[in-house]
Amino acid sequence: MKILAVDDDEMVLEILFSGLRASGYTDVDLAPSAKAAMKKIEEATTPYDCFMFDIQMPEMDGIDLCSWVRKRREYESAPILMVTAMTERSYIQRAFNAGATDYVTKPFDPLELSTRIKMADRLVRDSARAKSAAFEIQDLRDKMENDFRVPFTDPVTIFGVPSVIGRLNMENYLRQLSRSGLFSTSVFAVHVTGLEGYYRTLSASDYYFLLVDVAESLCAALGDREYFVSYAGSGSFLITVQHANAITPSMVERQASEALNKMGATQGFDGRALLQYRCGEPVRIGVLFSGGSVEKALDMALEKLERTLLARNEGAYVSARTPGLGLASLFVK
Amino acid sequence: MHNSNSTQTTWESPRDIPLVSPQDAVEAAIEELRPRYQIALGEYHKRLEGAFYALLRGAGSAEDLRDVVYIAHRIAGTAGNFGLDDLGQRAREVDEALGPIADAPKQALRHLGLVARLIAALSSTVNKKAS
Repeated sequence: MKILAVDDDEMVLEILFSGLRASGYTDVDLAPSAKAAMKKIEEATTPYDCFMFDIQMPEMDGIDLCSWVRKRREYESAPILMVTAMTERSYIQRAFNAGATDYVTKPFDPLELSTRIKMADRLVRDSARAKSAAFEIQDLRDKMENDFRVPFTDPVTIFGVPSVIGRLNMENYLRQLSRSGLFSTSVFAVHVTGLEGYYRTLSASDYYFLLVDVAESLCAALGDREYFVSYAGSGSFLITVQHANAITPSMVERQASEALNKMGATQGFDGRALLQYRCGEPVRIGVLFSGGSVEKALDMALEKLERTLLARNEGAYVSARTPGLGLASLFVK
Repeated sequence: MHNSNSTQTTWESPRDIPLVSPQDAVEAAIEELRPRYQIALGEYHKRLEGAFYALLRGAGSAEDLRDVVYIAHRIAGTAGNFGLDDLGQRAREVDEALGPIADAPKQALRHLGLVARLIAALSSTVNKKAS
């Protein structure tokens, strides 16, 4: 695994280098600034597999560097770990918005860091497999040719829409909020009924772009708030939002629906919307984390959504929850 | 004992293979870095004192304040790795209080107590090692 670590503090680079070597990562490049890193990236004959960026650096900070790396096609899904002393919410939010995969606060335990790298390593291996759970845009062109499509139940990583991130990134974001004691965030799930019909009839690429439209409609519904949206599979999206008390499920459903209708892509001949939003109740992160892991927390949000759908006696719904944890993994009207 | 020849290294017994856990390897690397870190802390101490007294006299510039934040940020990010948790905490307090107002030396005056505590912690760390 080829790693590039960037920090303006030489001492940090040396500690990182030692920790990585001790954990078996020997192909490690170091750069003392964002500019030096950009040069190394541009001149690399074999691409890097993983990046570790400090945030606060002179001239160009690590978040801008992260955005720059993400714009390069070969690194659209490469793991980027922010390694930083910045613990404020605004930095965490900006970093994940710029495409960070994980966020590690200094002083870091070099061995814990290596565990996080191993997770990133696994992500690299998974994404190298053509049929990984995540559906990545750089593979899309090839997949279109082969009429490849991921199962309807799988999460899909949507690229290029601000505040829309992959499922793993969302989990890491919530973990970081938890570590920093930032508990004003809630998570809720939204199911889009009718998506499965489109999944069956549209090409892989058209279906992907429909998901992009739906994600954008959810962003429009959330307005100026601090939020992240992630597609969890099975027609359901997970949304984290700060100060959710001003948000009601019916408001999200109505505003997202209006935004999608403005795009005009999913109306039937009679002008009625073919996709409908069903929003679960928000769950406060503080409550979630006292009960267990981030994965369980996201499952709880999906469970709330299931309860909403059950209460409304909605049509067929395949759960996006972890198998075995659901109220019902499949229920039909 | 191991035999080395020009092409490969072989170990006579599994007991001869050096067993270094990742934790030990990291600790050894940190120990190797410690003297240089100590020198860096001495430099930070001098710079921090200079900037602090300039700010205290009302003669400090935005550049002085930015230097204080820069040093605090660096110490906050590394002191814990060298087992200097208290120093790291003091530096983090300065970083968090002064970071957002790093361009406004007048506003920083009310936080100079935090800087003084950081200097005291730094002084104690530097002098402890020297004595």
